[in-house]
Amino acid sequence: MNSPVLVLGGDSNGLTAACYLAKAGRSVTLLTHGPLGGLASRHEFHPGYQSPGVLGETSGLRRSVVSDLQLEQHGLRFADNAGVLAIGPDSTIAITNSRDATTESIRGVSARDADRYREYFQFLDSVRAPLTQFLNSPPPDLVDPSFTDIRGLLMRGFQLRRLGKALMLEVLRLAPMAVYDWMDEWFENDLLKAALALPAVTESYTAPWSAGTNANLLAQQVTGGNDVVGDGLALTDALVQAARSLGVDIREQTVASIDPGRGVETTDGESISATTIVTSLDPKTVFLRLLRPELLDHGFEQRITNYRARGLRSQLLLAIDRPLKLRDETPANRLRLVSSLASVERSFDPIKYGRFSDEPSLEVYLPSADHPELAPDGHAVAAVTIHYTPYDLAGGWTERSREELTRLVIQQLGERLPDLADTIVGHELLAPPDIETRYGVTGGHVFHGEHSLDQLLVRPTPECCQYTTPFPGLVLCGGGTFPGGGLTCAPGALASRVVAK
Amino acid sequence: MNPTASKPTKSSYDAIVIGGGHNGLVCAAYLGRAGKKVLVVEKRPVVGGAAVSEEVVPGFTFSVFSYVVSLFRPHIIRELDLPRHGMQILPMETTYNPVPDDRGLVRWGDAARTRREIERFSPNDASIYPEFGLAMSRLSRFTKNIIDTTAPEPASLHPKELIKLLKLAKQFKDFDGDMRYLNLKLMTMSAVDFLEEWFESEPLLPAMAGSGIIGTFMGVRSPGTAYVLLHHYMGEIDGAYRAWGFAKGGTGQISLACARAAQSFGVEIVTDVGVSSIDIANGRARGIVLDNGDQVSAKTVISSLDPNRTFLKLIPEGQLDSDFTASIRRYKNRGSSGKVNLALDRLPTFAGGREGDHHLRGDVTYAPTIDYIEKAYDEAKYGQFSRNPFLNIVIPSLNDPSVAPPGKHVLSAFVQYAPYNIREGAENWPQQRDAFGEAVIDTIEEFCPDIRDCLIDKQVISPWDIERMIGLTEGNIFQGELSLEQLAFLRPVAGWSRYQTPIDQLWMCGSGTHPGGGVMGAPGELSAKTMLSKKAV
Amino acid sequence: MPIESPFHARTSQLCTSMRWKDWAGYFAVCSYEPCHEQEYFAYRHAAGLMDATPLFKYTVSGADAGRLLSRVMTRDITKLRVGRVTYCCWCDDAGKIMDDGTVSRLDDDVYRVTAAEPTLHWLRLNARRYQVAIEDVTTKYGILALQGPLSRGILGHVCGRAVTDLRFFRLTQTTIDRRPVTITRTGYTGDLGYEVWCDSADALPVYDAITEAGQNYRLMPAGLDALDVARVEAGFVMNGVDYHSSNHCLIESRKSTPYELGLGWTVQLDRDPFIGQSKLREEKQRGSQWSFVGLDYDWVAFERLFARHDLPPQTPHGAWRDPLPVFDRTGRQVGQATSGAWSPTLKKNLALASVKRSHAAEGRELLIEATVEFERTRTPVTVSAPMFFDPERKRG
Repeated sequence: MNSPVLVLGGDSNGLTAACYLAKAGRSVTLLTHGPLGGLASRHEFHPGYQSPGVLGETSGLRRSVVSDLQLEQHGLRFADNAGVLAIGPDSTIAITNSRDATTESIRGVSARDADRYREYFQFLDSVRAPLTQFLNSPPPDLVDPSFTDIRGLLMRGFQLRRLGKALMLEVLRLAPMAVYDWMDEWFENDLLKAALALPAVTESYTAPWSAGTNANLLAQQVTGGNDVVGDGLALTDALVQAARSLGVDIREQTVASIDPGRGVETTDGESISATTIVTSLDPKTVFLRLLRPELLDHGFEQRITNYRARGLRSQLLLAIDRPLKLRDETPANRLRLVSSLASVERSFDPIKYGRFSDEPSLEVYLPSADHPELAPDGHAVAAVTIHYTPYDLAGGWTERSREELTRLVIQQLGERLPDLADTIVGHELLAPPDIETRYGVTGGHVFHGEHSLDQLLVRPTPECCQYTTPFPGLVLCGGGTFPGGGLTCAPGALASRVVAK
Repeated sequence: MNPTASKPTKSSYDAIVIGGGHNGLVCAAYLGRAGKKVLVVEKRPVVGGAAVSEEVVPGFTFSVFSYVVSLFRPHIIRELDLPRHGMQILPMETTYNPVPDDRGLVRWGDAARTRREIERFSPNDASIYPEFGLAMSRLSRFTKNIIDTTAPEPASLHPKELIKLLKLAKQFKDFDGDMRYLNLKLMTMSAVDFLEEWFESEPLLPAMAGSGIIGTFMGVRSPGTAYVLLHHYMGEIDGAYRAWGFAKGGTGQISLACARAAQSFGVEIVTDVGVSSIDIANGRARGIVLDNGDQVSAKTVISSLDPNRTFLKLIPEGQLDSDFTASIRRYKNRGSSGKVNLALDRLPTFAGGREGDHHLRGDVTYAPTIDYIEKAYDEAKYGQFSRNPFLNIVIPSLNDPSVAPPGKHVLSAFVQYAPYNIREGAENWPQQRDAFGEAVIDTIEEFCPDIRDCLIDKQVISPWDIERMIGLTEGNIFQGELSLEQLAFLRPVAGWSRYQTPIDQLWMCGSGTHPGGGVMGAPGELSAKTMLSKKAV
Repeated sequence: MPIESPFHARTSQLCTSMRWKDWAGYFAVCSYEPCHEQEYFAYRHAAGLMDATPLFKYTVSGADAGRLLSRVMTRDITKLRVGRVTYCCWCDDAGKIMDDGTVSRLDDDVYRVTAAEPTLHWLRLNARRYQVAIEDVTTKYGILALQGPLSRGILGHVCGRAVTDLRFFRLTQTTIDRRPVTITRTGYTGDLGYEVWCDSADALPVYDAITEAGQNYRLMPAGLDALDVARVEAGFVMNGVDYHSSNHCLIESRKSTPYELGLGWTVQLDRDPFIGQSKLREEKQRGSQWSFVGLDYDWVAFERLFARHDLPPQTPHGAWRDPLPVFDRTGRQVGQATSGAWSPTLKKNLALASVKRSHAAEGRELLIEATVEFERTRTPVTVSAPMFFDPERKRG
């Protein structure tokens, strides 16, 4: 089994899979639509200013991938004290990789919560082992379990049970909960709760009061580690270097159609034959756009169609004509502008009716310190992630609605970062449909499908939940497979094992 | 029912059941049937708890709280011979969804007629509707396995428990693949996401999704509501799925039938007797102390009250370890619904111009759009009752003339959302109650323009009133939310799902235990059977 | 409550027996006279006129209409030429049959589908990525089935050459009494016959024109009871009787495949993928578990059963639909007869049955359950092809 492999998709997962396969001795060709890195890639959004991509957060990057692919030899470095600055209406908390520093920062708002924060992590540490084991192994097929799956499930159950009866039951209780309730069980400070929980609720059509969001929080917290210096872009760069050094043939070509088992056609009319195709494109793109409808079973087509990927975030890219200085002295290059879980919940409510909130929850990424090349000398770039904005905005994403959202966001930024507003010299708003077009992700959903409980356990559908698909020779390796989207490189690594078999 | 005393005849019993709700009565009846000397102590003058009928307005009998029957376990009806004791369930054939400025949607017993009704809104939905029903009934068959037995204990290493788990796994595996997947999704998805895989049109979507929120403090778009939807779809009388009904004479008749059955087995029931505490010595329950200070002893004490009331109000402090108490404290009650019962001079006119009253004999759900329900929820989330609430209405007098004087009617509206914790604080509900009642009647007016002309009298019940009247903490009608982390082996507290408590010889049998709320009888029955098999009584 | 078909004003006048049933939500006549026998003979010896409006009808149009239907149906509909009709069935992913019906190609991009069950959602769900419009036209059109050896003469009278020249499974668009109609040479009686589609608004004049022309041909209004006998003779399977739509089955064993129902001839495997293809291919290679057969009662033995009770043999009145178990000679159950009838034409007692393939060879003797005077017993039957009656004139 040393036939050549065609990898479709130049994002972190595509690159990861390509590297693993090349390392295993396969000859690998990788086709990328647009720049390498996918959601973590650059583009010029204002003359002289470049975007750092829509995904930057790297704390979920799997250490096993880093060591397997020797990414540190390709320039990857971990920051030992990076993190997030939560900015509330009247206080700030720096949540960084350093627990001690974070605890001290929390003490500024609540002494009780500072102590609780330590206990919270003690609890997470106590359950970390079986959960990470679960998240770092190929998922069991829950719908149609084979003998191996059942053995695997029993193993996982046993690992969980080894925590002791009480902890096992506690984990089972936590997963289906709403983050709101769990955060409430731990902490009293609204800003802290919101800052910790925000990333767990924005990957799906959910808000803090939605049941099941706690599973996300747990998964993020137990797999979270130090960030990469330079974040998503640096990860992309390291992966590309690794791929090149492993001899991966990288081409910038867009796939127009896939003929499983045979090969692909590109938009420029080339036919590339390949018996093994591994793709990190999102499942809906693969099955509902690139494959002829006749090839799909009725049931499979329904399930893929029903796979939920409703993009809910927009990004506002800001070109700033001076170096950005944060209010506090902190190593954080990311900000979360929230007030409370209720305020996050409120920013979610309007999307149910096809509108965006007057007070969206914002995250700001400031890449310039690590990536001066993104802006002219002495200038800076800020990438503002806006939660939540509907893909199907009532009335459509017109010039007017875009302007309104931009104005709203800049005004809100100004309230908490007063120096910022006057320094903006250019901007670009990427609404969910723009993210869809620019990065080729269905629905503009940056995680290739919502992280709801059902879609995490069986991702994306029962027939594809272990990376293989109903089509021999076609394998999925993107965020639309277990354990989900984000810059973790886990799906790419796990999928490549399936191909190697 | 035989007249009840307000004083126990003996000073000692085999078992004392605290609370004469339907679960307490079912539990007592099963214990009595096994030959035990049982006392049931009910604080109110009538038995039934949340399943009571009362003549609130002279001549009009209201099913004050619970108003329809669906989940009552058929085997309990058989085993306790409830029809002989007066239980009679009248079928609810139709579901009517009024829509402003339209004839609305009626789903009938006749499949072709239902199809044509739905066709007016979506030919596609009409075509797929029967298949959905089939899928749900198949799913119910699996879930029924869970409801009709004690909860599995995944953390136990006891061979019996492992076998039970394996059996469940086997039942799951015997399902076909589509159903397994559907079942998995059902457990976690929102009602709307789940239904939108099948349907596209309003008012069908909101009408169906509405049953996913009844009694929960969640919206139709909240994950987890698809399961509640199935829970309600599972309604089963006489073994027929999705068969809802009215108890003749009101829901209270079910409790009375259970009480008579219990009495026929020698169970003694006292009413108007409050319990002030459970008498515990050396970590073991010995009996109860009544409000008047009297002590009654028993080998076993069983509480049908909700977990919060049982463990935080009736048990003297210091008897429970702090972890357990903390778990009870974080157990979510959060009442979210209210009830408005109307005595009507005549049948009001429903807008839309349908003739006759056939379509009104079942339930009338007012939820014209998904957004309508969701907006009602959004208001409630931040501590306000919904100005335009979701309504589930029944007019039992159309089926059962015994509940109202001739020609007059009873209309009973289940209202959501009415959060217990309003912004002003729950204790301020009395000041909000009138406004709440008016909001409900205003909403009814949207499809019943002459409702106010027909009105003789009304009873408005907020969750705060529910708590005050029948003791359900925060007015939660299920004795605790039916959310995944509070179901099965996690209900009410992980490790204590088998009706036992950390106090020796103190047991639970209410809706706060597996398999949860609804006029189902299952917790009472399973609890009694567990006690009997463990020789705990 | 069932609704009225557009022909109801006429059929209700004629239905003196008051024998009605609910057919797909419509009032449908079982028999116009108290006994269906005359109506049956009309089908076989003159002509019978039946209201077939309750059939579900869909129009599928657009650039990808043929592609969609080919994906759904067991036949390659892209090969169906304009002006032709084909009988076919459709299956789920597992190759289990959901329904059967006809597809007519009215124009390059316009098809019409008939079905016994609501099928709109199935077509729509499979059409998400096609350029097609699917319309439920069930109430838009009325259908009259004019069946019997004299039907050609009658229709020729009202429509002329367009119909007399119409070949088996072809369609023509013409007029009756100046009203546009589509006439297909198809039917469910296994005899010469036509089905006339008209706009619901034109139903009565079309009905009147045909009845008037039929006067000299002894045309009779005929109901479902007579049809049922005729279709058993013709060996036509019926959804809900001889098989069940797979999407309405609670259990696997209730489902069937086209091969098991003798509809293998409608399955075209070697073409672009269609729904159920891979499972049907597997079944074809492996061989089916069940076969659909005709059963011919051994008359002498049948007579003897009744003679034991001193009774003359009692043949069923009309067609029956309550399944009866079928056994091999040793008494082991090998299948079930799903419908049957006494054939007044062939003078035979007949049944249609699903039996294990191992017992399906023509000429094989099996036993079928029979109840005489509350006594349950078994009587011999011989396996035959299900198409008991197949006159030359049907195709000619």
